[in-house]
Amino acid sequence: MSDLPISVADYLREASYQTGQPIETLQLGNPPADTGLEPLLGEIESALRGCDPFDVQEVMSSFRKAHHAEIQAGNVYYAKAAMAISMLLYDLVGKALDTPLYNLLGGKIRDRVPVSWVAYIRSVDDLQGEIVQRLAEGFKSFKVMVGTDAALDMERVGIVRHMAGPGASIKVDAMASWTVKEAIQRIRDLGVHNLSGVESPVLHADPRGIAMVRAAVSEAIIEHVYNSDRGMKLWSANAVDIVNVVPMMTGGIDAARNLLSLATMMSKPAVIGSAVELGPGTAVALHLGVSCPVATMPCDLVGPAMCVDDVITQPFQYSEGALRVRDEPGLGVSLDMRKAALWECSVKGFAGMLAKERRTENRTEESKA
Amino acid sequence: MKTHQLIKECHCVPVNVARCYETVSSTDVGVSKGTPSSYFMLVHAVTDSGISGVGEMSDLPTEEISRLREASHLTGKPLAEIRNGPALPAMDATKLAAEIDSALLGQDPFDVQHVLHEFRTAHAAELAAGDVYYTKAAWAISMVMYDLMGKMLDAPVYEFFGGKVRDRLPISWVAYIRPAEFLEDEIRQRQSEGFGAFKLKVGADPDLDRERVGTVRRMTGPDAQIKVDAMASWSVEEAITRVRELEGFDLLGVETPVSYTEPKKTAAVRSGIHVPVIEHIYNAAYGMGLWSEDAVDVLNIMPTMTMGMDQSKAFLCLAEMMGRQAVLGSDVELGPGTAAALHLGVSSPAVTFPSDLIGPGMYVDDVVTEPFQYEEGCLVVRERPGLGVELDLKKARTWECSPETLSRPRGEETDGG
Repeated sequence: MSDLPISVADYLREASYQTGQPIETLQLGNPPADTGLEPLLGEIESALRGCDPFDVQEVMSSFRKAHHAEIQAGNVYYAKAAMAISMLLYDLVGKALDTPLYNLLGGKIRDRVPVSWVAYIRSVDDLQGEIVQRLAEGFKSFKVMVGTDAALDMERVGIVRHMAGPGASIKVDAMASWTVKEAIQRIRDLGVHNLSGVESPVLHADPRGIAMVRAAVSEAIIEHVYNSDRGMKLWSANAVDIVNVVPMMTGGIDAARNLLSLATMMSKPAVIGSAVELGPGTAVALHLGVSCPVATMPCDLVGPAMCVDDVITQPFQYSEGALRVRDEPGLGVSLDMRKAALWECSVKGFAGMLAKERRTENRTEESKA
Repeated sequence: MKTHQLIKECHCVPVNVARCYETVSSTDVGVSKGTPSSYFMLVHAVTDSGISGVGEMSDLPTEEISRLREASHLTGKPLAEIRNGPALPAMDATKLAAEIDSALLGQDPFDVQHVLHEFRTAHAAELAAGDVYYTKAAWAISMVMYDLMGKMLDAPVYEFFGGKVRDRLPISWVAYIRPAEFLEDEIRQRQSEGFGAFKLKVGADPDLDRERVGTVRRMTGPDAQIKVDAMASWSVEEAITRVRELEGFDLLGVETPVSYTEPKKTAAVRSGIHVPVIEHIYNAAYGMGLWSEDAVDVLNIMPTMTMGMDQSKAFLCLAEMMGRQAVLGSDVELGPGTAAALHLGVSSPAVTFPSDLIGPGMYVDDVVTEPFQYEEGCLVVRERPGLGVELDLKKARTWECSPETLSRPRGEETDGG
């Protein structure tokens, strides 16, 4: 379960993506970062204990039914728990059948996936250093986060283009920050740097708004598809050129595969998106990427390079800016329990995190009043 | 990891197997006598360690009009447009058999997507024109590879699709258009075999349709499930009228009431009736159209027309994502084709409607060592590695026909006789 939100803002943002509702209309509910992780961990364990790993669909179906309310509310802890369960079962199935996961997904049609290095919003100096390093490591494609300050966005994209050269593929991700009017203007401005795509240009990722932007600009529009409903809405609105599927957010390997099939049926190329995974999560995303005919765009799998350490015995290495899928049975990675124990945080530490944050907010409000 | 074996031998066997009786549907009435037998191409492949796999191209059309109709289904273009357009490329079954063999020889059975991609690219023109022989060839290639993969991993094919969520599929017995006395005997026989669901071909004659549906309902009682299949015979207005006339018989569903090329028309029928609408999904664009127009309740997926097991699974997943039920449609398959459809059906949560897999009941013989039997009107999936069926080459050879019988056009046809 990757990149679990522990702030109110992050939690609600994830819930907004999952449900398609604007953040303003969402209730906080009872996320594990508030109530504590033990119940969820207990639920995951009881979903798995005693089951036959080959009964993936049954186990997933029961889990989804049992936690229908949380999943409907966009509680991303449950969506990610579902993927963790699915991933674990497929790892066991692959090992039992002595075959890599991609062979259970139709076979691999490529053995590596090129990765776009993702440049977050940092100071110009830090950005330059970052790009120098990644170019030296062989990265040929880049994703630049934009959407906060127009002038800064132009400067940062300009720097990346200048340093990476005219042949590099550069896309931007506006993280749903702009209005339709702003999006059209910003994309036209940034277009001078020759973008391979623009991701999430419009507030609330409203399909009609995105479609309007798409009709007004020539750059390819990339949008997240977290579930089939979202996919169908984007497709019917004619809103998207490229589909971004983040396996970790889809609720399971079968669900991710379904969404990639949907992209195939819509004749849209797909990006394997990222939730900044460790080794196991990265492995799953790679198996999906190498077995999907339309996953022809560079993916966003920067997890292994973003974290100072990993929890598997042989961490992924980027080679020529690409990640190679493992040809060993199952996921092809082994958990290094010693390393994991080193990074272990307290389950108890999760409880009350959001409550503490709200108390701090209230105190700040009170002191202002 | 297991090192993979490669396909060392491959050959195709064309067969012509007699049906238990001639089958007539609305498209035949006034045009032909009906279908007394079906043509198939069986694909048999063996790996270098002796593991064998089978694929099946079912119910191949040998009349030009049938080829054109299939092209219309596959391309989504109206039949008139296909007829007036460029002729379908000539069909040379010997050449096709050689193309299938060379697509498979030397390949690793696990490279399904790669092999299919190559085949589809090499025959893009035929596939774009809707040549059903090439569509079914792609399907057969995919089937063979999954059979081999399953045997190499010692796992039934359903394990490649998420595992089974049920172990059998209830089947609706399909009653074609036949004189009334034959119908009663047929229904009586199938009832005694345990069938609780039936599909009637309708659309030729409204009075006859009412009589036949009425007969079946009377004989099977209030609990039996009855669907009707109009095979695109009606206009929107006719469909609404006809279905309303039949609603009193408590129909489970109506299939293909109007032309399958216009989802808006199907949607118009759907909003005018109280019976669920079943429609085929042959290609993704059409499927998405059915979704956008909210035109359908139940998706009918015919694996043989999808160009591959993965593609069939994708359509079944589409049904799941759309929140619709699905059925496995039938191309009146022999044992191998039936097995493949079964593995897909038992692994899909959406297949909760009776499917049409009547192949095993329609032919006087089969080409597998252990033909399927219906159990209480259901087909039970085989719990053996791969497809779970073995080709009986000796039996297949007794039904073998020459490739020339499949090749089109034939010299005689130009006589217009």
